[in-house]
Amino acid sequence: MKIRVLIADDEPLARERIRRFLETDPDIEIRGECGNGLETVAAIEEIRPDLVFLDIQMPELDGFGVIHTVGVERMPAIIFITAYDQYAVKAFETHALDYLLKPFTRERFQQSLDWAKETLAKGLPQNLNQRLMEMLREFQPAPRYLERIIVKSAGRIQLIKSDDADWFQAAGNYIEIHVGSQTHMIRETMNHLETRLDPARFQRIHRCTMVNLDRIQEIHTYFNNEYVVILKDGTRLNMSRKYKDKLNDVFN
Amino acid sequence: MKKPVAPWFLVLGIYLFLALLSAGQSYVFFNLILQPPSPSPPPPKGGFPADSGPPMVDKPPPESGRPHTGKDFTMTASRALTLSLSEWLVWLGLTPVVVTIARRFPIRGGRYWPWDLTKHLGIAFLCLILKAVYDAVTTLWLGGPIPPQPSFFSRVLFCLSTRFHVNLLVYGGVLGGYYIFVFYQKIREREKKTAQLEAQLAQAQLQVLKMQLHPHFLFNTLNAISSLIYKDAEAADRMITNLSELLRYTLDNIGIQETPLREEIHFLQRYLEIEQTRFHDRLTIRYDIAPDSLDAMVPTMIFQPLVENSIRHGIAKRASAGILAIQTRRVDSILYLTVEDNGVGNPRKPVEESPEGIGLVNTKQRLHQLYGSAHRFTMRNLPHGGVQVVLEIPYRTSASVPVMEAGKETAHEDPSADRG
Repeated sequence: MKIRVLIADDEPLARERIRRFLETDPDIEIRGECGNGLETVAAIEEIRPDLVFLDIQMPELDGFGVIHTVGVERMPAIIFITAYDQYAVKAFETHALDYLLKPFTRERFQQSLDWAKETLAKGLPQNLNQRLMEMLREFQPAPRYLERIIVKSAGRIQLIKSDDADWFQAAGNYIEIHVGSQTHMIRETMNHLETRLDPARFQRIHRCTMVNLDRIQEIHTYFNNEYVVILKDGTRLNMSRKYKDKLNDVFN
Repeated sequence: MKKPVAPWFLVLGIYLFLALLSAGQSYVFFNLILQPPSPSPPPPKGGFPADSGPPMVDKPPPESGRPHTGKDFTMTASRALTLSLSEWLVWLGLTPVVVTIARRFPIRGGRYWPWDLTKHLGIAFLCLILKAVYDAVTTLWLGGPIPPQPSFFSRVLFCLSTRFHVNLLVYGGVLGGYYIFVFYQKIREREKKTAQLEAQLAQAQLQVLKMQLHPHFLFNTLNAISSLIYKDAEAADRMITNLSELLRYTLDNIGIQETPLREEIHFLQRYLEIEQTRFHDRLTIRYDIAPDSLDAMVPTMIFQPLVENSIRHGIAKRASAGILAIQTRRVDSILYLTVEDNGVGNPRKPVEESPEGIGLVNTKQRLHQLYGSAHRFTMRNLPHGGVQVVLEIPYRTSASVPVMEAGKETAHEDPSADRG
């Protein structure tokens, strides 16, 4: 079976160079090229490549942002590419991740490619995700929150800005994202999503509900210890007592 | 402000030293000069009569059992020490008072100093009266060598008159010491500030240098060339020439603050040609250069961070072609430099608040260093999308900036000196 490859670099000439090197390889099937981070995220979700050549410096969303948005566990094998980034290179070396420095020779490229093929043939190493995660943490020590949520609907991939979401509702293994009049479904658990979103902007108000704090109009307290959050668009959401105190903490 | 501790130890040391000195002096004076030691104490009468004043508030400790003055007065070493210590260590308490007063009523220069000095003399007099009261009490208590006085008041007067000159000198000494200390601190602070400024300047220059040589740009360009060679040798060739010119210009201008706009535009064209090749047809550039602005001196490589910002954050994010417009205008004594793009703008927050990346912060710093308040840097989102940066700087030609020319010469002689 051929290895499905995605090339992500914002410069057409740089993509061309990689394509030229790959074209002669019978094991490789180039499935797509992307010019920015957001396109890359969508392409990874859509074509599920086996291997991605990921340029770190890209507009909209850099290479690390791509990994972050897609999620470490859903990333294909990666060969990082950078023109110049001492910190990133150091991080790659510490965590034994493969990278190419532009401009690279054909031999160096081939070496990386062979290594990737070997890895893919054996299956991705168990600790790869961990190494990736550690590298990301090291490179960006400040907590980085999800800015865009990947939504798949009817065969197309959408990236929704998390700020645009009004509220989230858990439904089994899925979460409904309410954005204005639209509702999107993603396969995700509330607990996991909560850790990925900025707690200063999103708060759980119920075991099954999370809300964008910007959208809250008012909070009603009823005599039987029931609380209702009313959003600016009029939506009424139940809030449980446990989360009421947390919300108070956020506002105080 | 952090209170320095060391000076107070110094002050304490000085007073202790003075106390020891005066103790030794009075011991020698009383025992060797005034009253040679005699084997048997002389009778209590004669010389100074016994203290005949009214009963004092502070009675001498009864266990001493000896009168404080008179012929039988012996200045033992311990008494000399106690008396001196009590006399001098009180200055330790008075010193902060004097310092506070000195802070409150600083001695100003110019025509004010006689009046300020007079004020201090008055304050010193008040202080000395207090000190005399203290001396009167302590000598009574500890048995100082003071002739008997009819009243406590006369005792105070005695103390005041006998020690006036010494105490006034000490007061003056404290005041002078304080001013020396303040002066010394000021000098130290100024030195620190100068060092800080120098470090800042060096830092800014280093950043400019780093930005000019921009490894990221350099390697990406080389990468693009290595790709271009295969499909368009002529374009690759041109790219190498452009890059070389760019590098030469950068190296030639290390440490040089200002260059003629003419050169700056030529440099910009090389730079943008490379960018155009890198981004294919996604970048259209329009130059609108007023001929009468070409001789103006502008900060070296002033355009580069601006256009880079437009390309990276504005145009590169667009799927369709981006337009970058460069305009220069001279209106009387002001030079206007404008960079405008039709990119995505900065939707999240007003651009003024978020100079993207280090480049523009640096640009602002440089402008500030070069022109102070004589420049303006405005950056705004355009209504139809895109960002416009307008720079207003004083119009000067190379002839009108001799200082900068001098800097240029030294830079040529020794570029490293200008890098700090």
